[in-house]
Amino acid sequence: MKPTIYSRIADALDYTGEVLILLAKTVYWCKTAFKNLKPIAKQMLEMGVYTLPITSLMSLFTGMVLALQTGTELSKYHIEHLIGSIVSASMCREMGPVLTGLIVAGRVGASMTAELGTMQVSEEIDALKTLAINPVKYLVMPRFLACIIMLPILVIYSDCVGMAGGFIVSKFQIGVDTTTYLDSIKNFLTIKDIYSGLVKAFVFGIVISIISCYQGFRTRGGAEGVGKSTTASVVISFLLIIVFDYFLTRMFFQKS
Amino acid sequence: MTELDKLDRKISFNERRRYSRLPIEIDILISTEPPEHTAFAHQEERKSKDISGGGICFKTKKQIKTNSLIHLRFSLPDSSKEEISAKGIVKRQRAIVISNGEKYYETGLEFAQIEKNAKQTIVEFVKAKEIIINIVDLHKSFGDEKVLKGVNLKIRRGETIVIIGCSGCGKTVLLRHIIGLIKPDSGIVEVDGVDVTRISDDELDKTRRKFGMLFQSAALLNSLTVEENIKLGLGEHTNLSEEDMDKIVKNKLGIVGLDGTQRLKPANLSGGMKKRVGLARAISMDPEIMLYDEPTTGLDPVRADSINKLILEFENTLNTTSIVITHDIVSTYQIADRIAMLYNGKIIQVGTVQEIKNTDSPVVKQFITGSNVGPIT
Repeated sequence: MKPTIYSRIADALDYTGEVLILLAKTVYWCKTAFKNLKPIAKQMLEMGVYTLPITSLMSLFTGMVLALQTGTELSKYHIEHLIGSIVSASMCREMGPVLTGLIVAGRVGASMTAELGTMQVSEEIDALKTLAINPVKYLVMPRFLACIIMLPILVIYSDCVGMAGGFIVSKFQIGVDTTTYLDSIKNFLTIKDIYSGLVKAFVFGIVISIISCYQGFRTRGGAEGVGKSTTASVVISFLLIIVFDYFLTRMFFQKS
Repeated sequence: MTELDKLDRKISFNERRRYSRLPIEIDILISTEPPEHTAFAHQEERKSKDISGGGICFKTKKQIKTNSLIHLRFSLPDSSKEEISAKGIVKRQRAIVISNGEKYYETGLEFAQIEKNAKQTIVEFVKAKEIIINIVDLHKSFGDEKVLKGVNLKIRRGETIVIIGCSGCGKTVLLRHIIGLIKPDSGIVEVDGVDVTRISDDELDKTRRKFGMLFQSAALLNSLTVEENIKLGLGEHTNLSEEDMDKIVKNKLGIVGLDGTQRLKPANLSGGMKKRVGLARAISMDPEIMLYDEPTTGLDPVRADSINKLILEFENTLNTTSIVITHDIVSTYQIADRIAMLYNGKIIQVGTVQEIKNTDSPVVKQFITGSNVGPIT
């Protein structure tokens, strides 16, 4: 039977409810974090350290493009000395958290879904249940904590690398000297710019970990099912990152 | 606790299997056959009749005090020469005189269960305290497909019961209900008196610690080594040191003949080796109840026989209750105390190996002979 708009809405609400239940259970099991430091550290390594190369490349070129685009326009009005403030604010408020979130969703989130989905179809998760080991505690909680810890750290790193990329273009293509670039950042970048980006990173970390793990647990149908779940995990994570980004930006920066 | 309960506890271990006799002196023999056919008697026996309200009434020459505990032996109709032993409390006794002037006593004996059939009465009474898993009217559908349509099954502590049936008939679904991996649409699954279909996740985890399960594909965690797989339950539920856990791992791997493979990953193991490691993991916590989903499928005859021997060894040494799902009829006859056939969503017959071999059911007969002629399509 072809799904109607009503059945799709019902499915979406069902999905949302189950994701929120998984989030609640995961937060509950965080109480056992100190007894499970090894698996959390392993996930942090996977999530943070192994993502550094691609994050570096992405951030560097993002900063360079920002500097190039804004510098070119600012030069027309002879206010290219503001380039530092624009690059830093853009990186800290938006580009850093959003692009890093998307990278982590695509690389780490997909990997989590594939791993848990494969475990689901090969009965490994059922095996954990028969050993009276809670799968949320054993599998989701370490990934959740690793994500919400490492993503803000990655965003700070990304912001710094982005600003460095912006500096390279500003100095060698736009012609803004180092002191002017740094003074511009110092004078215009605020604490709010920085912490708003970190709050976004924290929220994106929750989204990526919970959606990826949930998609993994609901995988059915062998290898094909794993593929579908992985795709769905990435797409849904991407969409939610953009949606949450809008609402968080509004929360921080909309003048009342 | 009544006198009956105290005696139950004392005698049940030896008596648990195959209606073996109570190791005590018989006071009274009651026979369901006419007196001339019984082999012997302590007391002069008379015809017994069941009375409603959960007991048996018979006549004896011996006066017995009320509320005393007496031990009985029932001889059975010709289909089996075995005798059944049981006990009961004398609830009343009254003197009667019959026509030739002899004095007899009419003795009312109370049992725990109400049954018309004498054999069934004794079996149910003696085994009543020993049902470890009780499945009542279990129904389960997946979408429009009804898999289980009212399954009823009682599994006794310490026995090995093999559930046979056609491929896709719901054997694995039934097994998963027992350990709470699936919730039924309706019905009850009681494990040691606890209905696993209606308890919280925490209570379900406590109940699951009584179980060990061997999956058809072993279901080893591929990211962990053999050693780490076996330590999963130990690390989670015990405070053992790494050294003690290593010893247990070594012991369990030794039982399945794979000591030395501790550092290997599942990807480096053959199918048979994975299954044996899965078994080592399942028994790592010395469970009371073992579930086996096709334990010998995919194994060569030698390995299959070693798995069968392990199942029997666990039953004999650890008094483990084993529930086995298999198509392997040869293994079934080797290991089963009882066999249950699942067909069309219901258990259609439960019996000992001999009873199943001598079955009148055309469905069971067709299955165990492997014939493609019959009601199973």
